[in-house]
Amino acid sequence: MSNKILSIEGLRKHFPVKNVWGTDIALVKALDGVDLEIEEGKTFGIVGESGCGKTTLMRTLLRLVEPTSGSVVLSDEITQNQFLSNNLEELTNEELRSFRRQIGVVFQDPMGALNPRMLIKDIVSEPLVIHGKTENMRDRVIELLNNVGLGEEHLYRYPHEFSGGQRQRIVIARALALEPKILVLDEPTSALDVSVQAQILNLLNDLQEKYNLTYIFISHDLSVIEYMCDRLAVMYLGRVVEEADTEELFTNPQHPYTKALLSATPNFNKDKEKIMILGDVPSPITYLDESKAKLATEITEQERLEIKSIEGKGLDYIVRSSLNEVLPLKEVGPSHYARVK
Amino acid sequence: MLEIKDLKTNFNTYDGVVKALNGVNLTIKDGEIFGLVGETGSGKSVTCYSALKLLPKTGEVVGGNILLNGEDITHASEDRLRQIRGGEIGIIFQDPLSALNPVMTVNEQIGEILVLHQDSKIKELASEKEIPVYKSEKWKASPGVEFTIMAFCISFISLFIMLGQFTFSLPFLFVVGMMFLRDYLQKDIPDSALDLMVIDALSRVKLPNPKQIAQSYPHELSGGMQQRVMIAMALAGKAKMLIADEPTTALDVTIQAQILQLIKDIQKEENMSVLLITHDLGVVAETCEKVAVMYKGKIVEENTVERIFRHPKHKYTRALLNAIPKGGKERLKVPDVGEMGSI
Amino acid sequence: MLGVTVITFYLSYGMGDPLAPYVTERTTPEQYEMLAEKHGLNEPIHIQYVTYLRGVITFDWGYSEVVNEEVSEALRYRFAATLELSILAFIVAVATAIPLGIFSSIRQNRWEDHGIRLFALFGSAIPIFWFALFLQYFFTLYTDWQISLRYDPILWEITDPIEIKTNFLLIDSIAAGSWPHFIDALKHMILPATVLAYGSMATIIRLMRGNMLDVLGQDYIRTAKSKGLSENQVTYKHGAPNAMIPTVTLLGMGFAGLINGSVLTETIFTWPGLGAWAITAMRSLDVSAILAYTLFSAFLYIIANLIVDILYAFLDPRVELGGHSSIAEILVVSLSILMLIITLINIDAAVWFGFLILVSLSGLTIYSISKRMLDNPEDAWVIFLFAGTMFVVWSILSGFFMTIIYCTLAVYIGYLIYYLEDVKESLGPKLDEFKRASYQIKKNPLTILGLILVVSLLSIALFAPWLAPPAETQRDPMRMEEHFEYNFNHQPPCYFSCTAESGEEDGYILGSTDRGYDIYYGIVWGSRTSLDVAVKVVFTGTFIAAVIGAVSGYYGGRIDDIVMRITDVFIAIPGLVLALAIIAVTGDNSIEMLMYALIIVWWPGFTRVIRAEALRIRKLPYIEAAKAAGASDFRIIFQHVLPNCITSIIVIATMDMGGIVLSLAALGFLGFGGGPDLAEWGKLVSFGQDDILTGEWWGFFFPGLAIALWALGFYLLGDGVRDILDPKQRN
Repeated sequence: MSNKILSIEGLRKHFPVKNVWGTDIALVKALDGVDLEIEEGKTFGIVGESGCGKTTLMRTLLRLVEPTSGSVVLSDEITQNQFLSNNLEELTNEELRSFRRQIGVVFQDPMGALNPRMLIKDIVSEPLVIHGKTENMRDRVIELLNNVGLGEEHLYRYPHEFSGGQRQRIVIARALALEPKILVLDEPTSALDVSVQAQILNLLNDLQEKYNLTYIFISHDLSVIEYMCDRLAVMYLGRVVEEADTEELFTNPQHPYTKALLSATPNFNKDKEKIMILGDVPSPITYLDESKAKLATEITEQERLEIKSIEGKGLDYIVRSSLNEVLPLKEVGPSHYARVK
Repeated sequence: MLEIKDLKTNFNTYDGVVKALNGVNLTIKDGEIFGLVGETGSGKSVTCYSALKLLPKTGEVVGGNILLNGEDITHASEDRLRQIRGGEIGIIFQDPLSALNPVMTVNEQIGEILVLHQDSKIKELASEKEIPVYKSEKWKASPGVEFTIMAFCISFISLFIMLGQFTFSLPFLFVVGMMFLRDYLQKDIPDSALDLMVIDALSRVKLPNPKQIAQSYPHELSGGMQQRVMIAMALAGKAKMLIADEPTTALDVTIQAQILQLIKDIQKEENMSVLLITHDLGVVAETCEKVAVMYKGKIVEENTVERIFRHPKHKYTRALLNAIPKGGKERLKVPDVGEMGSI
Repeated sequence: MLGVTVITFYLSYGMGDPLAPYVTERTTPEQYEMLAEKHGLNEPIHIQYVTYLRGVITFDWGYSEVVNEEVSEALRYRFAATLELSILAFIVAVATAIPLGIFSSIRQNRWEDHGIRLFALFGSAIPIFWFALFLQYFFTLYTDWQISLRYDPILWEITDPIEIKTNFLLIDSIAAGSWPHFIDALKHMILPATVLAYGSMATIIRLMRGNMLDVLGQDYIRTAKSKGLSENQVTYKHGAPNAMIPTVTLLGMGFAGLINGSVLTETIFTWPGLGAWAITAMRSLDVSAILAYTLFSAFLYIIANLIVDILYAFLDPRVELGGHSSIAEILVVSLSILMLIITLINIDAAVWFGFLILVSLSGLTIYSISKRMLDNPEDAWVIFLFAGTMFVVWSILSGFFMTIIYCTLAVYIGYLIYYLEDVKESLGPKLDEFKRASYQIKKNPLTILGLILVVSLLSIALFAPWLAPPAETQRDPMRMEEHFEYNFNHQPPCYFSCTAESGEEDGYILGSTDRGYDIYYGIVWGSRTSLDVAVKVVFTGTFIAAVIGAVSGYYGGRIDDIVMRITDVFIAIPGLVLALAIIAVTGDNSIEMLMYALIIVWWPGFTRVIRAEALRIRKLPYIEAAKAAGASDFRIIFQHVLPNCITSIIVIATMDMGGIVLSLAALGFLGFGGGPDLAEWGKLVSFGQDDILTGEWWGFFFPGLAIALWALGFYLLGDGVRDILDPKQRN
């Protein structure tokens, strides 16, 4: 059992929804009590549909947004016992800068993540400049580019001259510039073709081995997650509904949502048991007004219609509204937690 | 059903002529789901746009033939092409929100295609049930026009009152009053034949409350519902063939499964042909019967799904299949840098 | 709105003696005291303000000595005249411009499109007064249509009076059922309305064309085509309504433009409207009239924008009414309304109440800013930044300008030498960009035309001493010399050759004006005036705007709110009107004052554009990436936000080089900015305007042509630059 490098405790992030008069009428519960522990040198996967709070979780981890409550606790590995507090929210500006040296980030859209008016050399060296490590900068930048399969000849080019995969390599090079311990990967391959995706995944694996990096891998693509991750959390409506080691989770899913998600992923195996989720993704908005507050747990009109159409086709199904009930997380297997009865 | 022979398409760009298609051959039979897979830039979308002459201005078909039910439509007139679009071939696009007109209601958008391709049927229905043909409400213009009239009237009324000449504002007051009265008077008029047809089209794609959805704007619906509306629209003209261009790429996995299921169901019910264009091999494996793999403007391999995934013949297909993570942790077999074609 | 009253009040306060119109030589000091007492001038300033406010909301807008009537009374019937003209022009403009814009977009890059674009560009580039004079000249001398050139009320008041009910001539004549009156009214209106319409038509065409091109590239247009709709159905049913949405939002601005234009048009056609009235008032420093006019224009603008806001929410189903307002905004608005109500009841109470609001608001502002500063001490640089901005602005205006430019240049060259290796290698991609740019210029003949125009006009300014050497007796080459020897007996201005009293013949290349100014000399040296003013205003404006806009857009929140409210106040007053008011109120009719006035007028617009860009950019992932890497806000703004705004900054600055010269000329035409002998194009046009009815066309024609070419050149160039730098065109 290796050390945990980061843990998340009861993290909540609520965005208020205002009406015309500027008073809060509802909350978007992007994160609603998330507890996670991330181990050093491993890849931790976070999977879920759009709007489930994955990206907010990433932003909170980087302290780009302040959480409503809860905290991100840093290990001594990161703080090196030099910080006043281990809580990310309580860091001083100076400590925050030093924390940012330890954590790199790779974004989904590589074109958007690169400033179109900067040369590659300037983009990759930017973190070095910010943190004042300017000696031998050129060599360092070339080394970083070599690491990700690019070379010196790419130094003086603009981002729009590169292909999608190359741009993502540049983003990775930039993220690695300060030799971080953790790399947050927010859907790093979802904008790429399969073949390029495979290259990037291989590259990420190589880099992890080489630098003993810890990855936090956010994705909606289960096949990528399965390939990359050692441990995995499934998120639904701002909560973790199931968390387990990858193999355990893929072979023995407990939560109905996880089961449906696994079966919904297009697969080559046609005989696989299919579980459809019926109904639409519910909105994460919670009204403060009590009468509207509860997410209905009874079956909606659309679901009834879909049930009618699906019956007699030999397909299993669950309905969205049945997922609205919040159950406590409990241990269902060795280090396997799920929100089930 | 649809046969494409040696299709060639060029794009004129700043850097010169780009050959998007280098002789594509495709045959889609009646009642089959045909998958067309390839990576970005392989020309899979261009193929379908070329077939229907929907290319942007820079694109140009330079060679080849397109046969629809044996009829050569390569050089068909614009009128004939418009009959085909929507009437014989319906299309669904990738991002339903941007593919639906944001300022028109679902009712208007579906109604449009019905008027174009199902006009006789609407009239039949109208005479049968003795209801109005197109509009249930007379005297109703589009909201923009109505509001402009309203704004003009109200500004003139306030203007004349400001100038102390109440009598001049009377005609404008009358118009405003009539506009309010009109809604009240026309409350109980039954749905028109067109409205009924729209509702029918919406319920075919299993949308709940089709009447309410018909009245709403695209942005008020969820992604899955929007895509259902798109499908309803593509089917409304009684097309015998459906082209789905990356229909589920913008959607979540679970919604993707629903939409694919819907397409399969409808295909079975109506015995349609479906051309499914996608980059996702998994989607193809689950949905299609036959599949063609495209690479650099050419079809490199075409076969049934079973065969192509079990025994890929072309090296590009093999490389593509190898690139997909399929459980297990062994290293994916791709070159570290560079393109797939270099294998 | 309250902000506008603060400005107008401040203007009136700074205006020197507000009693000036009442005071004659015979006024004794005692009488003066009495008058001062009567008008409450001895009260402290805040009480005066509240009293003024009360006057404003009870429509007691003071008494205008010059035109000898109650201001509110004059406003009422003159407003009707202006409104009638403006509405007519507006309807004409919208009705022609929108179809033209659509047509131009569907024929993109064909000759029809080029023609319409050129037509539209001419509309924005031609000075409105020049166009008006040209039409007058043409219709009097070359047609015998009885289109009355100047408004004359004979038919209405003397020969055949009809009942005046609304002061709308057309409506009154219809109401009276009098056909001759109707025809007469129409005849009077057709030329001014055409002139007014052309300017706004140009703007709407360009907007509509751009929006339409945007819309036609959208996915739902492809969907519509795939349904089997015909080209026309797709364009008019799916394209046009969507393109209308952003166009409509700018129609409010268009209406403000009409008010701006009406000042000039009414003066030329002696239309009995607000604009002509305001000019009369300004020339004679009639305080209450000027203020009332300024306030009234702002009021109109706000109303127009309100209507547009509602229209917008209606046209676009995605927008909800009032969905964007916050607590603070509502608080301020409701407090203001309360304040106005209390003003009606009791002045003392209102003073205290206003004081309370002011203290609490400024307290809130200071609190929120200082809290931010205390929380993030490194943000303090923002204050230094503002201080630095002020310093640079001051240095530009105080002639320190060239020194700064040289210093910057020196620093830049130093930088280049220091990083020579880097620079050499990064030259490659830059060269590629340049090649692409020149390729695109070659493809677009209009841009080449613009470039040629700009270069030739700039070289005229540069080589002025050689092109038109000043006479040896002249002290200042910028001041034109009167050639009285040709004009002792007020003989008409001469063209090409003049016969002096002595019988000597002398040639003027482009003729002379009736005061004996050489037009050629005026045009050549006038280019220097234009260049000087335009460059200074654009530089200062851009600088202020870039800094304030980027900071405000990037931070958002409270800081943004405050900045935007301030710009709102400035934008609410139509530009020309504000500039006129500033000049009139300070009573300083020098070219420098005019420059300050133009800067005050132009910076809010710049700021808005750059803020909008910054708002867009700050949401992009690379900003997030820089933040995650620990970059400071300073670095993000200067390394990421501003360089990516630079495209729009360059485009707007180029365009405004033309726009500012137009404003300058308009002000000059009205007789503001520098003495009468200053070489300035607008002024030359105004000298020539009286002679057009006798056929001396050169007096107004050549200087006006110079203005039009200047503006056209920069507009074309701006358009071209936009096309080249637009990232959409790269792929």
